[in-house]
Amino acid sequence: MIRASGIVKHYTLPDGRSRPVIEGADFSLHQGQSASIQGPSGCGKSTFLYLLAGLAPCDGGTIQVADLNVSTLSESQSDQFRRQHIGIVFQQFHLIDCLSAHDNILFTARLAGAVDPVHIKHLVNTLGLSELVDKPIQQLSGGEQQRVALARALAHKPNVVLADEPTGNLDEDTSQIVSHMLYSTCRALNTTLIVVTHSAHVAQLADVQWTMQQGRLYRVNRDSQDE
Amino acid sequence: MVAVILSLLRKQAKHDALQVIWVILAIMLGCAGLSSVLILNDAARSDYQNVASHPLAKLVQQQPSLSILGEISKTALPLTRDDYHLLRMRGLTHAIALSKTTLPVSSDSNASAVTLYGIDAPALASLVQPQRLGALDPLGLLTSGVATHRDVILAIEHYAYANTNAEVTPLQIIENSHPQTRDAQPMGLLDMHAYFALFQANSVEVPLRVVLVSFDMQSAAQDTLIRQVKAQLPPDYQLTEWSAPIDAVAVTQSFHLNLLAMAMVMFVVCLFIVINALNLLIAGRLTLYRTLRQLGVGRLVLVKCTLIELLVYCLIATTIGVIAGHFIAVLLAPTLSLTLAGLFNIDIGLTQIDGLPLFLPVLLVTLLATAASAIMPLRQLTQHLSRRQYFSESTFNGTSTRANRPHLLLFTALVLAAVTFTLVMMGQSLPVVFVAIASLLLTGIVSLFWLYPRVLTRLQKCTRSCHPLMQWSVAHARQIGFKTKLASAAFFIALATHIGMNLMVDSFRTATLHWLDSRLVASDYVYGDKDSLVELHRYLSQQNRDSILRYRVEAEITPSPLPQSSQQSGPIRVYSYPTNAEYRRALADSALTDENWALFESGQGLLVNQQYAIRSQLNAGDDVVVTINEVSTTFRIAGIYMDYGNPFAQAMLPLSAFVSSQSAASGLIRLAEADISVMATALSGTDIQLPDTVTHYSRDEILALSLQAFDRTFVITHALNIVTLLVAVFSLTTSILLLERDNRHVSGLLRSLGVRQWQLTASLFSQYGLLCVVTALWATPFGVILAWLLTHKVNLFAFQWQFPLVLSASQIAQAIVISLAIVCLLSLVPILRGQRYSIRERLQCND
Amino acid sequence: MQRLIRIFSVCLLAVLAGCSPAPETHTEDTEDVALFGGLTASDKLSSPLAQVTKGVRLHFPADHQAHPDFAIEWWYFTANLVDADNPKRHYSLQYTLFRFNTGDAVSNAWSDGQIFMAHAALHNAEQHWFEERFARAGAAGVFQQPFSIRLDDWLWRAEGDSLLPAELNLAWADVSVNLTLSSHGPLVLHGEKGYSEKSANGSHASYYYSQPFIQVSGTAQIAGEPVSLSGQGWYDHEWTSQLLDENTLGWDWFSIHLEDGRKLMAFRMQLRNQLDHVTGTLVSAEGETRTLAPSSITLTPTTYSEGPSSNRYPSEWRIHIPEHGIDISTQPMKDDQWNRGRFSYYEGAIRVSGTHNGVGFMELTGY
Repeated sequence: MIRASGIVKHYTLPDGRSRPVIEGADFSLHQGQSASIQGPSGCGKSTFLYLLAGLAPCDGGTIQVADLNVSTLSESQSDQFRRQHIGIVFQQFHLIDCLSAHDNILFTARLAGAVDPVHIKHLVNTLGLSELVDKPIQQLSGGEQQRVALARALAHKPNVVLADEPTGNLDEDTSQIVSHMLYSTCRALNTTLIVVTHSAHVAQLADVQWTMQQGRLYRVNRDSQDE
Repeated sequence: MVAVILSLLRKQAKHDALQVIWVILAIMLGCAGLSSVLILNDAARSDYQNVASHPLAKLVQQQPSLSILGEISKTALPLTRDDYHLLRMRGLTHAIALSKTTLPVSSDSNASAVTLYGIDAPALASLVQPQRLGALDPLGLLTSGVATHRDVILAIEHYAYANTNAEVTPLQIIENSHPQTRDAQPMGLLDMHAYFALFQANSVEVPLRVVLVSFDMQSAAQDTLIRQVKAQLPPDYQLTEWSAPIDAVAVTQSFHLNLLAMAMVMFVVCLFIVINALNLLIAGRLTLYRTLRQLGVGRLVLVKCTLIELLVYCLIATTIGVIAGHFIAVLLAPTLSLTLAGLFNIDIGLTQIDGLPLFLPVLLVTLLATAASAIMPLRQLTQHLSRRQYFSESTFNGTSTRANRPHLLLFTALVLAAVTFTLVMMGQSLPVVFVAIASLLLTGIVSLFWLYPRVLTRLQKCTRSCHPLMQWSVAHARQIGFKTKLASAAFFIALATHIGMNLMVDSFRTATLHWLDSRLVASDYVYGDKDSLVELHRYLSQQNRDSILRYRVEAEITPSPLPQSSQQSGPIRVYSYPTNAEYRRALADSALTDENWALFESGQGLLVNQQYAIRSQLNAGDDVVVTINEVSTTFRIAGIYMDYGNPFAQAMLPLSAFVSSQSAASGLIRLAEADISVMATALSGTDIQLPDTVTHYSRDEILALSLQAFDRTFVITHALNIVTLLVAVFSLTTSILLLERDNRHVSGLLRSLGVRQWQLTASLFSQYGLLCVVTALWATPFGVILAWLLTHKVNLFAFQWQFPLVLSASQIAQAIVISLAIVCLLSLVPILRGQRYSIRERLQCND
Repeated sequence: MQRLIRIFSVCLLAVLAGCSPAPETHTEDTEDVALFGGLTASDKLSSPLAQVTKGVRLHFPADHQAHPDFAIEWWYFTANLVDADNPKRHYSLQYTLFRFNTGDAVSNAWSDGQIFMAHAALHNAEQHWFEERFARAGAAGVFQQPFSIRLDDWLWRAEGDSLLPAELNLAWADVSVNLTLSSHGPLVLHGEKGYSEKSANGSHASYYYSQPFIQVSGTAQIAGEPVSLSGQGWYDHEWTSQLLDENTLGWDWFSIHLEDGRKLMAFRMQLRNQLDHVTGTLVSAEGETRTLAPSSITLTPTTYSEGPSSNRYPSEWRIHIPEHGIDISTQPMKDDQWNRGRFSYYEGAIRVSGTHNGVGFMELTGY
């Protein structure tokens, strides 16, 4: 269960001035649901995602994720929170170059101290990575790397997966494959999924669609693009 | 979790091989320098301590009752053979002359060097009573020396025949059955006469020491002997007991201080490199660190794991560094040995160093230093990875992200300049001058930080209407200047000190050469024992050849009246000096007036050397009381003469004061009581056979030998100067490597916009070059000021020498050109390295 | 090998009998019994060194100085002393400086080719203090202006270039002596104006002169006790290159102060394959010398004693000079007057009785 209310976030520019990014955003999502967040570039949707992950503190409001008040966590608590409850999929994959695909997948599970070989194997099979696990990352295509990133994000059985433009660096066909895999795997694992995307197609796959405009989040009905 | 991250970093290290090697290399350099200094310092100290526990008792194995109780030395002057004999004639029959030298061995030997001892065997035999004789009587040394190793014989033969065809005493080998012998190094023991003969022909001065020996004495009797000896010693002698180790620093203070200071300087400069190398390593892993943070790895965990990684590198680097340091010490020891023997009358031998005791202290220092160096880069990293910085637009560059504050910099520079000026003007001691030098260099650095952006701003204004690439170059140069502060500071210090030291040494050399040239009046000089010289002088006079005997005597000189602040420093040597016109001309640098010269000529005036005048605060015209052999006479100081390279005080009286006189009037020194050390004569063009007991040098030979000694004295300084400069250059190169990473995506962008590769290369090269050129040019005046400080203050306070500073444009230009050439060449490496990335790769490299 | 022969330790062996701890008695049949064991060939010393020849005139004070071209030389002082406050307490003193030419090819600041050895010995009735020292030139030697004989702090120092008057200062162990020496008679040249033949065939000879007319007075500190001393002294100076070879087995030497003021020097040289050669010099109280030919003097051991190494040596002698009416016996003033240096030899005070009384010194080598 994710609930965010009155979230405020400012950027501090190098010259010391403050630029508001999120001004009083509210958000909620049930466990196992998927949500997409769309919006123009620079509107703060990725920022909101990272606030949910505890990667940055918010300047106002509260964020509740799985009964944890993320906005009041200390840094070490926030690190632990991410290790155990959050999986992140990045636009640029952010795989670890010196590890093989298999080690990349296992990495988060090892960090969390919760390696489940059966679960890992299931993920590998589900995401079609069986033939690729022993390869070095540099030898994988973009889509393959993103699938590895997805497997890594799910390996430690997090409550929530946050995906920031997961298909941003992929071609259209690969994008469709990856996005379907993302949604279906999370659904199958009853993992809450929040996807930030520019792609309408990817956004529509979610149970709930949101849009961020002028620092606020608005829920988008299936039948209407406006609130 | 730490284990997981460590395992990851281990794998990552293979990918970051160059950066890892750079870090290890940087630490290794510092270790090698530090450990070589520790080895050399320890060897010099143990030179004294070794003799105590030494071969005298252990080598002469059948005489275990021999003990060395202490060492007798003079407070102000080195001991001579005549001093030693004087001690024995005073009844100090337990005082035994000893000397020690290290000889290299031939390449087919296992040992690197052998230690050779010379001892006054007859004197030692006097102590060893016949009823307690063992298998080896010290008298046996008269005919055959003793060695514990065959290598000693080989080394002596090699040395003798290679250098001098000196006659070699046959050596016998004694099997060393004492496993506790401290030195594993082969050693030999010769009677002093044979030992001396080995080196005399090669004009190598052998350091002479006098030790107090007891044979078959109980400790109570030894204590009594020590008390008696102390009571019997003349006033300017001292006995240092060996129950407490000799404070070698008292004898070679400047040597140890010098070495340690230079080692610390080098180590500190190496820290600069380590900081930069760490920055390079961390910058290369920034993406990884960020990812790990995103995956929930805490900052402290990352820091901890990085420190553990550094620990491993320290262990590797220290091991290699200590081994390298040992080899460096082995290489340097012979040169150092000659320098020290000449300067301080000690010999530095190479004892086998037990690796482990040296390894641990060096490792500890390295760990602490590396941890200290890692503070800044890791601090920057943790700040960069903090949640608060997550969305800031800063990039990791290992330096402070605070904006440049020019007014603060300018103010600080001015304050530092004022402090420097005050210290220089008011400072009357060496420590104050050193602080002034540090302040001067700091002034230079801070002002450089202020200046460089000003230069670029001016350049920027000039390039507005020019090619846009040049506009970018200047703007980018401003950015990299900000990012390379540490390295350019190191380069500034190294170059300024390099210029300063070179100018000082060059000026000193010029002054020494000029001084020698004018003082060496005669065409030939002969040294030897008194009787031979007197005989030779008589013979030459009969042959109608010009010759002059030079006398030497020790005297107590007291200013009259005695100033309150002045301290009696013990006796000094007084030499005779001829009063011919040519010898007066030789003292041209003393600015002797006719009146003062007449005073000297008449025997009422005394000439003193610069060192003595400064130490005793004396000027021409002051009166002094000269006491020789308990006869006191008042003289007026007629002049102060230059005496470069001599650490001791000295004075000169006219020749007439040394001529034997029936009346033995006060002020005249009878011939029999004066030592004769030099005879100046015209031997050129003659085939006069000189006896073996004298050594002859032509004027040119003395000049050459003196300059050789001069160059040898400063060889260490030069070497360390060059090393420091290279280290600074290395540091700057590391910074440039770091910059290359930051610049990659910018260069990719420029290439994507159509800028050609060679244009880009030229632009980057000129940016780095501009930084180096500005630093070098700014370092030059500071180097010159430093040279002035070294010449007019440091030399004055440390040695009481003064000589004019000669500004050699060629020296300065040479230093600048060479260092710039090296830096610029090295800066091409990262630039060219960056070219291996494709434009696409460079564009994607955006942290 | 040549160098080896000229070494100092060999020269020491050559000077004094006894070579190693057990000095060997000499018989003509024993190969290595020679006094100078270790000295393998006699020509080694003689070849490069100056030779003693007849007819050379001695000049003084110049000849008080060293003669470095000769193999060996000594300046030998002995004194028969009494406690001035208690004349029954007798003391005997010896101070000797030996010079040896080592023949080193290389001369430098530490060696002029000479080695010096000095002995200082003092006897009282109960004790014997002896010390042996070695040194090179610089700390040892004979000097002029003023004349002095020195090794370390052992010093005979005259007032001028003449031998006497002089001060003698010695200190060793727990003994120190400070004596004033003066002469009341002339120098004595032994043999033919100083050319002293030591063998019948003339192969062994030395330059030898003495100053037997020495008055000694002064003080000593002996084992913490101050003593005033006075007595008679005898000074020998001898140099040669022809005394020490494989044929020299030893000698017996006497210096005697007769109560009538005369002085007697008697000497017996023992040589391999030759008869012992006896010679001597009788000096009148006024300093007139008479050289005693071998036929005019007999030296006969009358009593043998056992030495420190169980060696048998003649401790008492009869000296008979019929021509001058001298028939005297000598007895050591005490047992065991052996100087135990590197090489042991006998040097001690004797009492003289018979036709004449007196005191003197006896030196025995080769036993």
